[in-house]
Amino acid sequence: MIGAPVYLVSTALRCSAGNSVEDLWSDLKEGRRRLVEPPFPLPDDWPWQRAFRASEPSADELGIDRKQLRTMDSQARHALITARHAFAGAPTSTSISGAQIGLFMGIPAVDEPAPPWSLLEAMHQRPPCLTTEIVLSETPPFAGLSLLNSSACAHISNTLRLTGPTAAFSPFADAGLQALVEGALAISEGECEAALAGAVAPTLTPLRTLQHEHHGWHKMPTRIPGEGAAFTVLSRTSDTPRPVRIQGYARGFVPSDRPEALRVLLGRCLEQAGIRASEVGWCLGPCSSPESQAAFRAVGVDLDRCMEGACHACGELGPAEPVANVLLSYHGLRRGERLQVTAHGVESRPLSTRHALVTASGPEGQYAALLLAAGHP
Amino acid sequence: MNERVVITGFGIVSSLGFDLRTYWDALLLGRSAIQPWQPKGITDFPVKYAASVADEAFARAFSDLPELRAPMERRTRFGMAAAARALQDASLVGAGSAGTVLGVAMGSGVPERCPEDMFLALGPEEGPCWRRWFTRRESRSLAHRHGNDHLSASIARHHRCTGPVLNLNTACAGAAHALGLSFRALRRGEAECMLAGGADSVLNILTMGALLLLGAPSTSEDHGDRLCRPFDLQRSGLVAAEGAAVAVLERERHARTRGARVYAEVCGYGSSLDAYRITAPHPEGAGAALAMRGALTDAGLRPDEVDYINAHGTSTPLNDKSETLAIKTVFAEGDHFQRLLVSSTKSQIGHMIAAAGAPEFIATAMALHTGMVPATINLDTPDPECALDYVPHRPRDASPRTAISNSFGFGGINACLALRRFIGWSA
Repeated sequence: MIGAPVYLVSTALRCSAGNSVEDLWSDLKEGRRRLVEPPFPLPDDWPWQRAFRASEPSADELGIDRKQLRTMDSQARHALITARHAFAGAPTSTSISGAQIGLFMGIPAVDEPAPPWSLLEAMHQRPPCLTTEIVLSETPPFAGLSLLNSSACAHISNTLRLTGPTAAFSPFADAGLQALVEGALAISEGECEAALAGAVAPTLTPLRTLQHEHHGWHKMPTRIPGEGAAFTVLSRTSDTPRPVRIQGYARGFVPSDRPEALRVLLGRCLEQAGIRASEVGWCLGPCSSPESQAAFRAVGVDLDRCMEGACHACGELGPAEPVANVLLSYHGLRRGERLQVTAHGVESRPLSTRHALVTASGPEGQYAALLLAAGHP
Repeated sequence: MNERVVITGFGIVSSLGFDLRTYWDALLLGRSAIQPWQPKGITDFPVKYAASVADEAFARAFSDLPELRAPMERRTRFGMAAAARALQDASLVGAGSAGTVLGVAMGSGVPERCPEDMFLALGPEEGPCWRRWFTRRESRSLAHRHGNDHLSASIARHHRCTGPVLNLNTACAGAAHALGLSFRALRRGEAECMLAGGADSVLNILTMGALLLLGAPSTSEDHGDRLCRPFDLQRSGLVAAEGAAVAVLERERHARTRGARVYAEVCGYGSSLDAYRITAPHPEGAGAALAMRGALTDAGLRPDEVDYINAHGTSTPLNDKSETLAIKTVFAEGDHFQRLLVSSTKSQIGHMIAAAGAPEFIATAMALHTGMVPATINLDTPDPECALDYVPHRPRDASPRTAISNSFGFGGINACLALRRFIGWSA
């Protein structure tokens, strides 16, 4: 149902590995994990004491004034700098601008720790009560923008002067892939000529670590929290010698009590792309659970070609994780190379086909799959 | 060829009513849902009015829905209730289990910030502790249900959905985006039916405090329950509301095969960005105009074919003026803007924030279905800079054939839906 071709014409990534997909590829291949101490103390019994952080861009890097910087939370800054880089990397030969360029984003839950730590401290210093005075004095002046969350989208559109179609999805990994799907559909269905599509990871906060604990992710080495963002520019045309395009997608709901729905969804994605499972040369996304592996086997995807992807080197990136995986696929399809997790670490392998599959799921069952292809149709 | 998309069911949770008939009758009677309000346990909060949902009345109205007995966020409870009623209204209860490809798209806003939860972080003597807060909240089975995905996932799980399940997060345009993307998903055949709408509840001191610091809600006490006065010279800010609304959108063939009753047809959707300021809409409504034009183009409608606009109409000084200018721009040819009817449902139900577009979508569809255009109440002193026919005070029997519904989110994220009166199945 991606009727007209939609190409990835520019990519940008910001994560603990660096500021490009090449940096991430290199860290994955070399087995480097740039873990640092989080900006808050962790309990001694915590399974991990370090996390993946991305460097915070300055106002100068962002190309905005300090007044505007005050209105942005950390994840909005990561999103803006990465979106800027992706946009700057897109071919300038086209004359499209403004309303001809859409913006589609995956955004995590509210960045602000809830409740604000200072608010709790203020409450503790007097008999436990919550007053208007405490709330209004301890709430940051622009916290409302973070609460409304899509302000990350607004900052990008304001800075890059984008006025085209838009949507923002939240809060987990599937949201990032939904953004790419809707961006591709907006182009394919003639709503815009190009789209900036991507996602941002939630910032490291105490609350996030506790959410990881709740999901049981804190004991999984590939689920250590990471910060960052990943964006791509999608376009109707590409004049590069080795183009990569979106050839198909599928999305649906795969709750834990209906794992068979994943097989149906993967089958639908392959059918829409018009390829056989054996033509999928690389598959990135959740693939370690018995249910996922059963579904991949059932549709005929070779499990040796599956890996979780970016998280091996830069941690769990929320909605940005599948977008980072799309960028890895893009890089691999252009180089004819893929990565594989082996007993010895991550190793490089030739990518023998022209297709890569990226999947993403939310903890409650939202699921999306995107099939990428090298070359023109 | 793209298939037509029709609306076959509605569910609503609003302080004006918990079912379609009550809600619609209240709109036509010009009732206001806005009442004196203060956060729980507080008496000096500067925002004095809101449209809250009465807990006891809600519990009575939805006592037949066992899925609401589990602990969940307020917005999720509202959304689950509205989704169940929408499916009942469409005679599609159990459709997911029976094999209909049913999807969900919901606009949801801010994770609930329950002031009582704050105290969970505090120990008897030591200072606040994140882990204590989270662990205690978790023990109340609420923690993992605070994500923005939980609303649509809860609906999808309960109704055995297999189609796309989307969580839109575009501030006050969330529900309109959810409805628009659902329309597109159906038109291209990704699902047979979509449950689409929004649910939100910001009426707690923490969220309202943050919105107050942005200057969004009115703090006036001058007009009592008539505080929300879009396009009026004395408007002073939005009046927040809570609630949910869900529509069943359906591919024509699917609806026709099962002999469904149709309220109206969705025929177009447009979205846009202002690219102006994070805290103010474009002064001439440029982004809003782009969204409206996008919806008209998508629907194949000429501007002069539109009879009615359900405006975003927030009662804020900036929005109402810029939306008026946008309407004048889009409908300039032949001065069609002078013949258009424009009204703001928010004048009666307040601003449901992320959910706002959904009850307004219902009002728009019902205007096409019944021929009655709901009024903008409290428009006593029209702002000379907002000079359109806003259907003041009383509804009008105008038999509109086509209509659009506007939703504009904070930061300049816009959506517009185009609807058409349903006049019969395709030949």
